[in-house]
Amino acid sequence: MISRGLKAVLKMHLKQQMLSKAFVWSTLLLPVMMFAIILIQFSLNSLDTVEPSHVYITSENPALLESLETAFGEREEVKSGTYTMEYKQVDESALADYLNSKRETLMADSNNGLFHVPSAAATDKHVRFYSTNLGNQVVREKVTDVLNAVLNRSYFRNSSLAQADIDYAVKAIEIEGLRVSAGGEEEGGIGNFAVGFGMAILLMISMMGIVMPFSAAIIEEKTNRAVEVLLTSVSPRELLAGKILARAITGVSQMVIWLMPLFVVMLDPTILEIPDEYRVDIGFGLILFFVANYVLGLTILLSIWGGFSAMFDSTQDAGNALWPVTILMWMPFYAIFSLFKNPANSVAEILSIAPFTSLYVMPLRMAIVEVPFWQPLLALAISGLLFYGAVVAGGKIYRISVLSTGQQPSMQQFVKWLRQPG
Amino acid sequence: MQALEVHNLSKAFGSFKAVDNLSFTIPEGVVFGLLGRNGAGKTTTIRMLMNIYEPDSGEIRFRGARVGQQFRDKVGYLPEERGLNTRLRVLDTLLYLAELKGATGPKVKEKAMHYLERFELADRAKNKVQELSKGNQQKIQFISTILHEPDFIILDEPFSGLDPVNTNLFKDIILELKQQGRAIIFSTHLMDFAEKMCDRIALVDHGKLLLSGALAEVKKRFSSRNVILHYDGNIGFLQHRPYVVKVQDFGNYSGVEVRDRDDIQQLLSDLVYAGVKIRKFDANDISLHEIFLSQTGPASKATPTTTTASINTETTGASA
Repeated sequence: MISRGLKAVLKMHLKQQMLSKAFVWSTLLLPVMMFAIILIQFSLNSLDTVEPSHVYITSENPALLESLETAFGEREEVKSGTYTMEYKQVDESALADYLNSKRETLMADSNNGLFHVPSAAATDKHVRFYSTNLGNQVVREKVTDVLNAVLNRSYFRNSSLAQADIDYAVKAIEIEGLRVSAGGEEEGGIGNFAVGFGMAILLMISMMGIVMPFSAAIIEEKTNRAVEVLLTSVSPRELLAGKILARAITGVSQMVIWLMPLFVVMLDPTILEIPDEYRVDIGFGLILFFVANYVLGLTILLSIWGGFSAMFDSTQDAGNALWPVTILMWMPFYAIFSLFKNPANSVAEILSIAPFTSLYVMPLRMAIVEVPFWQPLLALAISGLLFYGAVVAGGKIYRISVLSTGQQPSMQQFVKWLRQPG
Repeated sequence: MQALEVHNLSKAFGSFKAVDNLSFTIPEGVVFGLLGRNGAGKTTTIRMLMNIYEPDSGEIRFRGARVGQQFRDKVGYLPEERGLNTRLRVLDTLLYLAELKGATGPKVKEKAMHYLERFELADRAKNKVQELSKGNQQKIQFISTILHEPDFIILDEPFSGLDPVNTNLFKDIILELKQQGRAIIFSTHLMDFAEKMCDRIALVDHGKLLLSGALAEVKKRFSSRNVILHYDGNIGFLQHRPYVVKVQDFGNYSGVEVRDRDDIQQLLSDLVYAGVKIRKFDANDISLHEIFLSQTGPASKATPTTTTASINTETTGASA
């Protein structure tokens, strides 16, 4: 049963947390900012900045040069005049002189370039690129595609292969991903990955936003002695529990608001016209796990932070001493990168069950691969044990240290406190 | 009936004994002064009463029962080191602290507004506590101490930092609470206030009880060989009189302790003979300040009953 004191502390802190401007702004602005950053990055990456270029194509082989001219002539950039092409048959021995004659043009604009296709390229596909800007991937990719196709056709021209076979050999492969599940196979994967990754980011933002200021609040209440008055009405345990519960409820409310668009899409997938490969296909089981996992993670960190912060008289001292606990908060986030190449690798599997890292890794794993049902349950059970330990240890340290001032406790004293009964 | 009984209370921090086997009782409806020098163990004792510190040994009983949540709910506590959540609004702070004591509803709000008006802070009810001056924050803390209508009030140095007008206001309210039958523990090292307000006292030093009882009785016990003297002139010659044990100079007046009750007549005679203009000569009276100094100050180490007269003339302020 919730005691009267705990109820009053909880009510006040909930009011203070949820009616604050910081809560409103962080709830509304953080996801917008986060998705804006991702969108900007995505847009910048996919931006095909085709800028006017003058491209020289040289080759020792006139037939190859002719084929290249024909192929480039069909490209949109050339037709539109964005790329102006100049073709020249140049022997290997005359290349240096030719290059010298074009040096001024090449240096005038970093988008300009010269591709030399030696005769040997017909068999070894070794082509040289001259430019002031070798990192110009746009020009390289557009020219490379054409060069590859022309060299492939040239290579197979003298073979006995039919044109259809050559077309087949030249065509790039396309892989369609189909996710296998107990319910059958379906397109998708990228959408689930994006949602899982987004959830991990939201988890970290929320953890940082709620846990970090908790330390300052505890220390402020201790140093301004407000805690002494409160402790005449409620026990230290009730006081700490009220503060933690209020923040946990605030965090869950914030998370639910953030996940609201996802709920809408889950309930009615047709509400957004999403291409099949970007389709989100996650169940409510994952959402339930995510929320339970989040509450456990948040309360574990709040208990540790709340209890340990009470040992200090300034946020600076607390920050210096609590850096290992800070690492516990943000380091596990980086564990999610273990899933990028292969979400089912054994390292990812271990990290998704291990304490602290499971908070971030398991929800993402569950979003992108089939996870045996016992693994999320084991991860929750381990987090549950950790939660119990953190609450007991945090409560003990808080109770003993919240009224002590002056010298910081030694490690020996700290261990002694932890061993005290009750 | 005793409102509070403290039996053999002890508390140590490491090797330092903050409170050592302390016992006293507080009847209903009295103002009880817990007196002592800085670091005497007053605040530690109060924190044990409030269950903030757990005693190493001893027992505290409230109306016959061991103190627990019931006592916590019925007590109002103004700590020596004031502290409020400065980010909260004034009225919210008052209602929150009252709710922690189990007092909720519109009547509590009404009463909070009544006290705010009395302290001329009604227009600041919606302000955050941090926007108030230190003195006004202290008023808010005082209101929060009494808002839930406690039966038992503990005031640890309630007047420190207050101007005379607000000191009077606090004093009036404390006396009103006393008249309403509330028991009040008043911890201070300012003897003037204690003398004016307390019915009973306990004097502690180095964690130990030096004396306790009704203030009138304590004064009677210490005043039989004491004279309070208000005068103009020079009384330095008293140092050489064999019947004078001690002269304590308090600026406006002096306390003179003689060796025997019969010496009081001789003292008066000598003062008149020396041409000292006597404005007040109060035999068998002693200030609490003198008792405090005699028990806890350096003079306490001297033995007043020694055959060799020792005269200790001290010029002191209000604080010890």
